[in-house]
Amino acid sequence: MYNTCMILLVRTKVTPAQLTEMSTQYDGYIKVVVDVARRILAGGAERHVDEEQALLDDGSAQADLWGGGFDRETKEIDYNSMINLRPGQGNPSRDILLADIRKQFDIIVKKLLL
Amino acid sequence: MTNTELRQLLLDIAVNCTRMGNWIADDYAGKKSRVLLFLDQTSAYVDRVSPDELPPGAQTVFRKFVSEYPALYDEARHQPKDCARFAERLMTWGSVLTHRSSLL
Repeated sequence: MYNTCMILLVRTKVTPAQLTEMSTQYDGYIKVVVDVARRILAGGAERHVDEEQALLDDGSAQADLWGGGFDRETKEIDYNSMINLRPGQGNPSRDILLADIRKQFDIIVKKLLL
Repeated sequence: MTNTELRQLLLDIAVNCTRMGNWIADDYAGKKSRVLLFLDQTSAYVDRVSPDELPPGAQTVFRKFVSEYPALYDEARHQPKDCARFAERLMTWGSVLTHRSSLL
């Protein structure tokens, strides 16, 4: 694990303590950015762009990074983030519309956080 | 108020926050009149929710939202200092309230 401020870089399943730390910012809701190629994520920050930057600094490629959220209370995942707006990659919305990316996002978040 | 009505109100607030966030991020000046319209609608929704009627997981978050709402309202009515950052705050509230509405 790598920790900068509130951001955790998650490469293996989090511990309950790490999950609690990540969900402090938003009372149980965690904003995450997932690298769908490296199958890792960054979470716990106030803003997706900070998590995105942490992953870029860690060697991720921009095109592989997608943002959303995970709610510990409801166990729901969402796919909404300012960083997702990429018409050039076929995603003209702040929601992840690309079915395969959503599927990978789901798998990775569940594997690492649930 | 029934749980169904409360859930619907939370979703109405959440969707409006997301909607306004997108408009503010894309074009505040051009969408301002629409933002103000939905802002007033959101205020009316917020006033109708009694936090005491919400389950614990939704109540805590909703109380926090209500405490921040006056500042959000003021900033949305005037030019936000940083539209992208402000839009993200609104959209985050949209996501959180959407999730917590499912507790009802």
